[in-house]
Amino acid sequence: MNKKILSMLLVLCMVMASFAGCAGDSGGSAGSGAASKAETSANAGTNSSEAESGADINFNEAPYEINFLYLVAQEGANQSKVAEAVSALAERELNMTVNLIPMTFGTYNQQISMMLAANEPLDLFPAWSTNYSTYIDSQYVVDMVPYLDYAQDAIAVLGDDAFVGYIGDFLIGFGQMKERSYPAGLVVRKDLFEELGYSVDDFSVTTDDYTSFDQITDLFAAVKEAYPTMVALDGTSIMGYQTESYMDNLGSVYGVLENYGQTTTVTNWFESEQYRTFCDIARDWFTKGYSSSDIAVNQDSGEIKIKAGNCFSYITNVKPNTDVEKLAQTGYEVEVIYLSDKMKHTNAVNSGLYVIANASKDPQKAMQFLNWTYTSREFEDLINWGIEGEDWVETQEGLAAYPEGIDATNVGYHNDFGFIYPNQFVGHAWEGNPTDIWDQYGVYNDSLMVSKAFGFTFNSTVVANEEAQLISVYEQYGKDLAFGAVDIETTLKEFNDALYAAGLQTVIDAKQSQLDEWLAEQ
Amino acid sequence: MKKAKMQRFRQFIPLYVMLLPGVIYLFINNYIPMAGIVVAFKKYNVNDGIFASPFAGLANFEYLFSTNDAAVIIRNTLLYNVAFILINNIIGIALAIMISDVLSKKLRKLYQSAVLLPFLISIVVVSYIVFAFLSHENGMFNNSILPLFGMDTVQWYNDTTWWPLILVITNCWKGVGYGTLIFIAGIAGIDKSFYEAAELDGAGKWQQIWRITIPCLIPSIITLLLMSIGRIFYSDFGLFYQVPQNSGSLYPVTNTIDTYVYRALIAAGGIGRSSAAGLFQSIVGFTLVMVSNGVVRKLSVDNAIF
Repeated sequence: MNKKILSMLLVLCMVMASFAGCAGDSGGSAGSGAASKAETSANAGTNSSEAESGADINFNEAPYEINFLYLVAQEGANQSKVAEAVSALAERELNMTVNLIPMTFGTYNQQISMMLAANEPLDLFPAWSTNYSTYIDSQYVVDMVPYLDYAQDAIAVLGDDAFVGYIGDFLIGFGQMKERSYPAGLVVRKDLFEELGYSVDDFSVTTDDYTSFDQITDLFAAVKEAYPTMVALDGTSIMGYQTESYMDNLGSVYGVLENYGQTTTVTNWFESEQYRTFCDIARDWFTKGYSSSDIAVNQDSGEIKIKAGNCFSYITNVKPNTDVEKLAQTGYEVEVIYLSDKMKHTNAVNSGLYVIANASKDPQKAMQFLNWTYTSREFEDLINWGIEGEDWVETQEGLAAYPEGIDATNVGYHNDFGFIYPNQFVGHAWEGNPTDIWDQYGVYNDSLMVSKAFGFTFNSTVVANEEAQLISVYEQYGKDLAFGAVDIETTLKEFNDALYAAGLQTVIDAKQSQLDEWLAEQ
Repeated sequence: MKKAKMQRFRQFIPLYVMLLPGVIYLFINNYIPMAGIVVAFKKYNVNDGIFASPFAGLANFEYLFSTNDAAVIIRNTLLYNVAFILINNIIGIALAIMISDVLSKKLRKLYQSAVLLPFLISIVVVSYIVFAFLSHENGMFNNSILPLFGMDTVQWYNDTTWWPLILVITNCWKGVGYGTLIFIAGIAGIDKSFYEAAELDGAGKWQQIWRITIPCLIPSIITLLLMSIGRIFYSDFGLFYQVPQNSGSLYPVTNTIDTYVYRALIAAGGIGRSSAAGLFQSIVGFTLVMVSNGVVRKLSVDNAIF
């Protein structure tokens, strides 16, 4: 009898335990609403000086909770402190509490599609240009056009670049304040470079005269002779792979406007003289052993290779303060040799935009919040550098730096991701940068060659199937050709044949017709 | 009659109750989501959700078959899986027989763990181990082994000739442990008196293996075989994407349905299309399992799974 009771009890326990997983998670947001009611009444008298946002902040209603997704370099120990500080700040100024959702690039790529598909609570998040058409098609994002009244600050800050987020009549989002161009550059180790007797002024590489690239070949030859164990060129990019630097790629690399966008005819870059030359140069470097023989399958970035100590240079997108950035990332001082002209095209500006998610309960409030982030110095410093006093302090020159005793290994929160936050120019610049670095950016941006198709974004849903196949072909041949790992003559022909078989002409025609329509409206 | 049934039912109630959590979990996790299969036939948008999204008929399947690669990816997936099934089973049985014959208990346990260890290593780590062997610049083959034989270095990641062999060997090294353990358990269950009788009758080692061990292992072999056949249109993504370091020149021999779908739909939003690919794989697998099970049932009823 006792055994029976015991066994029944055990069985009941097991069944109960299996229901333990059914607990709901509604507990979270209920608490914050109650706590902020007290603050609301205290703030009722405070008049928000943010009246220029086009609408008065109503402090008499309950605070709205904004779910703000943003990218971080790593998960910091001070994350929760930063989140509280941001929330308190937003509450003071906007009567909104903020739920910060930090993600690293890797996590973001994996999670964002699931979050969007599941309609998880989300107001604002950064999106990439490759996805705009699919997001609009799947209704993951909200059109910002009805809320432009609330975005006046953002528009003022962004200036000419404010409306690159238009895809047809749909305004998908606003961009970041950063460099407006992705020129290709060779990042070299300064110490070895100077030991060989070179200086940056010796080099002037331009696409007007391809023999100027011989200067680089000679540099590599010198490096190989002087340092036989060094790999002269490594990393994950090279001229033929720099699809943002030499032409206006109209959103994807299939059908582009060549010569820095100074034409309005869409062509196939892979059939051009320029591409052929780049592949031949790369093949030369490959066969002579200047580039690593693994370079076509290498997955490690140039920064990692330089940091490891046996790589001399790598090619990547560069900007005014690349050398400061790379010093922090690799530990070596570097110099930058530009390998292309600097051009501004739509994709350079709208490659990443902040968008309002469909799951947002109040897009108007989301718009107000986003607008505020473009002008709030405190917000920018909080999410980029962390808590003042703990993670950073202001130096005499007005830059931000680590406090006494803190460095990159033990700081509680540090990102240096200004390029992916709404407005890094309104926050502090990091130590090592010139004090007028933001002005320098401004000058740099104004000096760029502008593509004829600037402002135009291609809507790719009409050729979605072709693009899926083209991606497959590009992945098969793209790297080997660009890095010169295979014989160029035969493989290039195969590549182009495969592209046309996958529907390249359809994509080119679609791009051309949309572009012509857009040009006619200008 | 009914009373006896009721009594038997009441007797087994504790067992049914114990079964309940597992069944509920299976139902919730495996059966309810089956309703989502419809998303493969719809143009999904998040506002309408899965069930209210507009119908797209078979449009989502087009990209899978209209490509020139369709024949290549299906051929690769099928042939590799056939090779894996054959090789892994043959080597698994061989290893199981050898390990079971080891006299020392301690050594036997050691071998069992050793053969299972690669199975537990992440495929990404394995891809770097392979890279250490095959890297053009620093790999062991190009730098030490080939020069020993006086042969030229090979650009491994650009040359398709060796990769079917490399992938089969890698997959065998990694996966054989799993089957081996099952076979070892199967062999342990064979009555020792069979072997003694065979020895008395003068049977040699080979004959013992051929006439006793293998026939007794047939149930395990068939179970494993039917499970593998059900997954014949699936491939180990890590094996075909990571191990060749995603090298484009190798696509003709390493592109499978899973890697193709991944590469094509790496941009978000292709929910309908990726579901279509998954549905295709499942339907084919299901059909094959039913057919194979039917065939096995015709040959020997006891060995069929159901």
